[in-house]
Amino acid sequence: MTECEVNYTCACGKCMPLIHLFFCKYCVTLRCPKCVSHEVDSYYCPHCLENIPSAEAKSMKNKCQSCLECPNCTNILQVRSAQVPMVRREAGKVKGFGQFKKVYYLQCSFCFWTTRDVNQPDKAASNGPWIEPQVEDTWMIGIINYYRHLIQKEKVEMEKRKRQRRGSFLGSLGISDKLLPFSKLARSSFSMNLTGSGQFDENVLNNFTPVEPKEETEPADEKYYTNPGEPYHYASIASRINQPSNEVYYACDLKPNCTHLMVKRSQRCRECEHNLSKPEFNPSSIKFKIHQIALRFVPRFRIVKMASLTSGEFSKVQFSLTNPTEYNLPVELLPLPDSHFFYSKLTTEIQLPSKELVLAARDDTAQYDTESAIQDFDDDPEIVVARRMNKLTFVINVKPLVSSGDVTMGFQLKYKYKAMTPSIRPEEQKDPEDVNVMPCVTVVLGSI
Amino acid sequence: MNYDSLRIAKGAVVCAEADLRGDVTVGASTIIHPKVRIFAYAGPIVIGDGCLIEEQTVIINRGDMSDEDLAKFMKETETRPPQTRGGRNAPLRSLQVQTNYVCGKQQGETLHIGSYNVFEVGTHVESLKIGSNNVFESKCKLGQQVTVGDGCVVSVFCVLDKEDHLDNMTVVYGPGNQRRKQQDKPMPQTQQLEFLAKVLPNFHNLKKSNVSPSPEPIGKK
Ligand SMILES: [Zn+2]
Ligand SMILES: [Zn+2]
Ligand SMILES: [Zn+2]
Ligand SMILES: [Zn+2]
Ligand SMILES: [Zn+2]
Repeated sequence: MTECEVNYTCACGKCMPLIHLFFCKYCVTLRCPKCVSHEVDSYYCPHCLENIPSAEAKSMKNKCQSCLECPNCTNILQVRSAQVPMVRREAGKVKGFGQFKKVYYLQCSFCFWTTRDVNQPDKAASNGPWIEPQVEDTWMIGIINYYRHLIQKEKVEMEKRKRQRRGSFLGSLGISDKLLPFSKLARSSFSMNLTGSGQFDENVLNNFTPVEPKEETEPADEKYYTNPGEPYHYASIASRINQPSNEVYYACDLKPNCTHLMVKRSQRCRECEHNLSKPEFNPSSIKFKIHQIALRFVPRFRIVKMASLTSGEFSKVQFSLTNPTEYNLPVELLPLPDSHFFYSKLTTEIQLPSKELVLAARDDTAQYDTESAIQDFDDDPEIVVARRMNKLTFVINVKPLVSSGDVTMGFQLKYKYKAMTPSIRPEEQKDPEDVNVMPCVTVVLGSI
Repeated sequence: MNYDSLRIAKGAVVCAEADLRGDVTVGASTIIHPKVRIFAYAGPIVIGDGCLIEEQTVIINRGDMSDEDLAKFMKETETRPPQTRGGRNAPLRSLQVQTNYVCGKQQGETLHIGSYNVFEVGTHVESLKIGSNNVFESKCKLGQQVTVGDGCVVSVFCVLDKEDHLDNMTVVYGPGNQRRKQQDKPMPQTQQLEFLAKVLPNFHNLKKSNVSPSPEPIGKK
């Protein structure tokens, strides 16, 4: 049995649920996540919710230094305190116990892993330091150095090529920069930092030796075949992958991990370069400054009640349309154009409502109103089943044309959107003009 | 044969609203909260000293009771009629819901629970052998075929229903019942036990203790 699904078609032809799509007010069309450019706004730690400037984030390898994760289960470690007696020593020998002192260690409250498990000494202060500064390994430095020179070399070569055909291909450098997933400003600083001085050394590039793959691996120790295993002694694969630089083998060598930073992203339309979505800067805020998601602009089509479908017979399937806008919205349902890629996959004949369906305006306060004025929409009782606030439930007659397999249908919505034409001078600001929006909707009604 | 031989050692705090049926022995300074159900259905249950058994925990010596019967039994004993004849002198039996599953009739294997175990809210235990110093976190479930050593932790919502043995110091955690060994056993909850022993009698009727602490600690074989 296939899942029922309702997909909207993006301007690029990709089909996906409405919740994933954006709506560009300026192009008056749907945009899928592949049709928008994603830009990093800010870095923040998901645990302490601290905002971290991008330069700092890079130097900290996109990790928060103050929030530590359990190497076993990746939950956040908590500081625990304990009382231990101070040991009095004389000439290296224990001479009895003195006063108690408070020591601190880290514990995972979920799987009970503690820093004591891996024999990490207790700390006298509650704030650590819990992790030692990592010493960069020479092999890694070599690789980074190699890439730095390589980038520099490519840049110089590109510069040379650009000079050769000056004027004809101004944007060549710009294009390569655009491949980097950062905002324009960050892009330039990124390449600046990576390239450093702007010099490159041919020797570094020539002397670099990549790691040689081995044909044969060393045979496993005989004891693994004969001795019973001690699974708890070894770190799990998941924990090992979580700290690749450490190359842990035994569980007692695990160290607390730093929490990975997260990014706040904003989305921009690729066609008109307008912002479609921009979150508020504060990491603890879940609000948006600009939030043009499709759900707020496009009527949402949903399956309400399925009928038992039989091949070759019409049955009434109930659907609903929800109006997200604040004005009454007449919507027309048209057959799917035969240029649409889904047209060949349709397996049903459908009788769409011949008349326009008028969706009531969305009114957030309506549900609290006890005696709101009931509008008369002059509905056809044959088609409209129910109306509740801005949601309209109606039927479409569906006749499957296949005897088995997926039952699919498709149509095109047509409604008017009041588009604001952006203008530089306010006196030239025109009245909103009605633009037809015609998103295609494809529906899988399950299988028979 | 005594069908309802409840033995509570001195110093144990067993709330009257806890539902203990059949041959149940409770060790000294063990705390049993209200709404706990301990059913010695197919054989006796022996609980050691200093255990903390929190609300809605079920400990049942299940025997050959089928899953269906168990579900029915649990449902029947889940809700209780309001205590109409309240007060200190109300007989304990009046608090119990009548069900068809009479505890204490069979003399099967004994369910042993050691000392200083913590059963957090909503634990379900059928395991016949549990050591000491274990922590069973909220909503975890131990099947009949599971035996538990000492110093183990079963984390929230872990369900162990296959034949299994938890070695000393094993920690079971996460959705896939991952396991690891810990170095130190969980801290005994002595402070919490003392506090509860002081506070609970102020707000709840208690079942009277009827056994003075035996020279040998109860709960050890
Ligand atoms: Zn697209
Ligand atoms: Zn942090
Ligand atoms: Zn933090
Ligand atoms: Zn953990
Ligand atoms: Zn656009």
